[in-house]
Amino acid sequence: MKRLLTLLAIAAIGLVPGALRGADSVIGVVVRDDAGRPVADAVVYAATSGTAARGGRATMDQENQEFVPHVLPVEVGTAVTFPNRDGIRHHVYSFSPAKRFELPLYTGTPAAPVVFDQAGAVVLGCNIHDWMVAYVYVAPSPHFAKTGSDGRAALRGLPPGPQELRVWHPRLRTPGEAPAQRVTLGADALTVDFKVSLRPERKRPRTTPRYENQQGG
Amino acid sequence: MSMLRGLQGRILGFLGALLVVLQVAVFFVVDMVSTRAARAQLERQLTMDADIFRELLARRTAQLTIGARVLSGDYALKTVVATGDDPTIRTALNSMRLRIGADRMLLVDDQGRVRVDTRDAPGSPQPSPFPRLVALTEDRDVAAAVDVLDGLLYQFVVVPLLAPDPVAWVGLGFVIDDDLASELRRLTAAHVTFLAPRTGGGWIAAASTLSQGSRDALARTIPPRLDQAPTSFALDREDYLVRTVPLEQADGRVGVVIQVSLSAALEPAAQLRVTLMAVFAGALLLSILVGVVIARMVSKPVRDVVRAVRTAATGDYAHRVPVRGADELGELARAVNHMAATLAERETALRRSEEQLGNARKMEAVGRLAGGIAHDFNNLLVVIMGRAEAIRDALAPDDPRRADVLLVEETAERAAGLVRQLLAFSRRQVLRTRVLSLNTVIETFEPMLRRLTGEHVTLSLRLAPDVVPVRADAGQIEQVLLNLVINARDALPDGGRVTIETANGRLPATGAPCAVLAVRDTGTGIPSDMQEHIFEPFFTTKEVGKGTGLGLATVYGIVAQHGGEIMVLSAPGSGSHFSIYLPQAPVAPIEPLVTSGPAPADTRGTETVLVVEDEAEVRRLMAAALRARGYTVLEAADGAAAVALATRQRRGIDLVVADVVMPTMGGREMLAQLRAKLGDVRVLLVSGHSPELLARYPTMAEPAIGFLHKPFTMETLARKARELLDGA
Repeated sequence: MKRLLTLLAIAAIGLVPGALRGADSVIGVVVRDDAGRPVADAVVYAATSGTAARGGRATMDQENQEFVPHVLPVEVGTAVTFPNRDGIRHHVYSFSPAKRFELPLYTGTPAAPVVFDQAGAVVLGCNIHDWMVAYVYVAPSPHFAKTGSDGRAALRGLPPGPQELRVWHPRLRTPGEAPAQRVTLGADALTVDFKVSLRPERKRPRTTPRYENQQGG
Repeated sequence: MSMLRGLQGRILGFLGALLVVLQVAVFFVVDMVSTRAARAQLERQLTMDADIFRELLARRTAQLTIGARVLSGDYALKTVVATGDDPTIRTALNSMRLRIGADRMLLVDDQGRVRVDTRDAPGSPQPSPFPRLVALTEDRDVAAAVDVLDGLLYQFVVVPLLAPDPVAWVGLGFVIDDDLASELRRLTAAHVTFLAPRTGGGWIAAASTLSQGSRDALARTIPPRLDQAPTSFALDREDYLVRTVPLEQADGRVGVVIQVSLSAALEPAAQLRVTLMAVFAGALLLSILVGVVIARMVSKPVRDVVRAVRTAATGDYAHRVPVRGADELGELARAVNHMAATLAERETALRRSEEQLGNARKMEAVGRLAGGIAHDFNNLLVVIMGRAEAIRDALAPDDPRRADVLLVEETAERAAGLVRQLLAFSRRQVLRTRVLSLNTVIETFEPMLRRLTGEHVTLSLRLAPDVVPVRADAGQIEQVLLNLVINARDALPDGGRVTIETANGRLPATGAPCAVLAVRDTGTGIPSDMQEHIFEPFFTTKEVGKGTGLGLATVYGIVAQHGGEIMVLSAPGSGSHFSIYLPQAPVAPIEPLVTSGPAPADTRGTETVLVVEDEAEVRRLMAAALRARGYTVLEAADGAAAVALATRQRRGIDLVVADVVMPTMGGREMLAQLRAKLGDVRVLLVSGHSPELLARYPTMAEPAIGFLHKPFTMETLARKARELLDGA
């Protein structure tokens, strides 16, 4: 537990390196799709940055029969808890090769978190609610960030020198081949533009929580 | 006849041809319309079938999709697939397949490779047979298609196995086979054939309701590019209407052919054709029959008329056309009948007049002959009688030879009677006519007739009191009555009745008014073949010696000489009826019957008499007789000599006795010359014949001229001469 907290602390520092070590340069990333629209929920990370920190913690909530957040980037070795905040049961599973697990029907927060110890995308689903989907992206380095609705993210705390930046998104057309860009980090701030090709969003018909027997959209 | 047949034939032919043309036209129009309607109906049915078919396939797809959709979220399958243990996955897929009722299931991994195929034995993964469908599931849950796989036609439904993003794809294959085609056929009533592309081009019939041979034949005729327009297609000697429907789910690579039997659809039209033909044949037959009847109704009367006219042309007027109705044909028939009747009447009349003319000529010829003979006989008889008289006068009253001489005289008298009758028949005797009433003659003569008829025959008179007067010689009329009554009596050997009638009537020949004298008997009658001969002289049915055969001939001559006619109505067993028609006399008073004055007692005289006669014997006889009675007699052989003698004698001649007919100078001319020389000299004409006498001597009636008929006795001559000389 102590180790875990330490990991989290390090991760927090890693996540906001600029804030803690203002001297570090920041890499601004903008992700857009083929049509030039900003892409949210894209995970940007530096693939070639030294050894990653270990033992962090993260949470994937289930609320109103949805996973929150939709995309959760974590460093390899992060332990993620899946608290169920709905009054009904959920059955969280993943058949992804990066992390195959199953949390059979439960309420509340399972005692043991799930440790994602292998880099890669993990697709989360609920066995009894087909529309519930979420992604845990297990990044191979501690330097990662998630784009907002404006498609922007900032990578901080990276050491100067050449870096390889990669982008992942749940709807990437070529899931295995995340786009990569090599940049050399100097004194000045860098802005890197990514262009990704996305699949259309899959329709997942669902019912609204309030009216269970009605189809939601 | 052939002309009429022709007319009838033409009417029939024309009507028949018209009907046939109409029927053929109607037949083709009806056939065309019905065929077209049937074909249009069939095309509508095909279109409808195509729609039904599409709908059925869509429903089937929807049904299959539901199962597939459930499958896509099946957690157990996801779990099994996640194990990556292919033999386990195969068994799980087969289990699913049986649950859903699919014929084949395939699992395609996210690399687009077939990981498991329930149909194949385990082996190395093959590329997905439906990458397109997999691609389609990028943004949807299910994709369907019809495609050929391993030579079989499938309806494929492909679903991603969602966890909850696709981790693999499951393809469910439903075979399209003959059973499905039969099911569709049951619903659409059309033949259904699924066409799949054949390797090397063209089509192959993957499933069909047709037999193997038929489906192959059909597949060969379908063009590479599926055309939805209906086309005709002959199969197994049956015509079909065919429509191809490209399947949207197969991108046009698979088509469905739906075909309906044109022959079956045209069956009602064919039946209609047969019915029409039967009806038309019946109508044609009926109209021909009716036409024959009508043509007969028209042409039969015409034929009858033609037959009647032809028969009439051969001289048979008895044939009559049957008259039907009051229309033009009836009128024609009546006209023809009337014509035939008129012709018959005219022919009869013509024949009768020819017969009458022939008879008249024959009688005329016989009459001339008889007249000629009589003339000569008269002269001979005058000599015989005269000489016999002279001998008798020369004999003593008691001389026994006196009887012989008297017999000679009587015989001569009888001969003279015969000659008179001949003359009467030949109408050459001299008539002394006057206007008289037949009733008076008959009543006067009645006692004589009663004596003739005897007691066993009843003679009755039925005389019309107003009978018109006639100009006639009363003596001749008596002669007629005598002969007719004798004839009637002879026809009544066993007794009976003879009736003499008079009446007014009209002459059969001219229609002029006349008096009719009829003599009827109730006797044996005259056979018709004899009637035309009874007026011929010497024709008799009586025994030899009983009749002379001159009786009726005499009657005929007398009547003819009077300008009248005689007719006989007779039949064997019903008596005879002789009618004599005598022309009415011009208006003139009836002259009283003059009875000859008392014969002069003395026939002697001293006057000078000129005798003119070409026959020397007769002349000498007359001269001697007159001289013997005291007269001075001059003799002349002919007219010229007489005129010369008169010129010499001047006023010494008191009486001329002259023969009318003489050579060198006719009596008439001689008479005129004598009168020029001698003034109003008395004349006594003697003659054996000549009816012309009446015409040539219009002064016959005057008292100064007398007439003496040959033969005559000298006593008669002397008496006649004395009468003339003593006349005023």
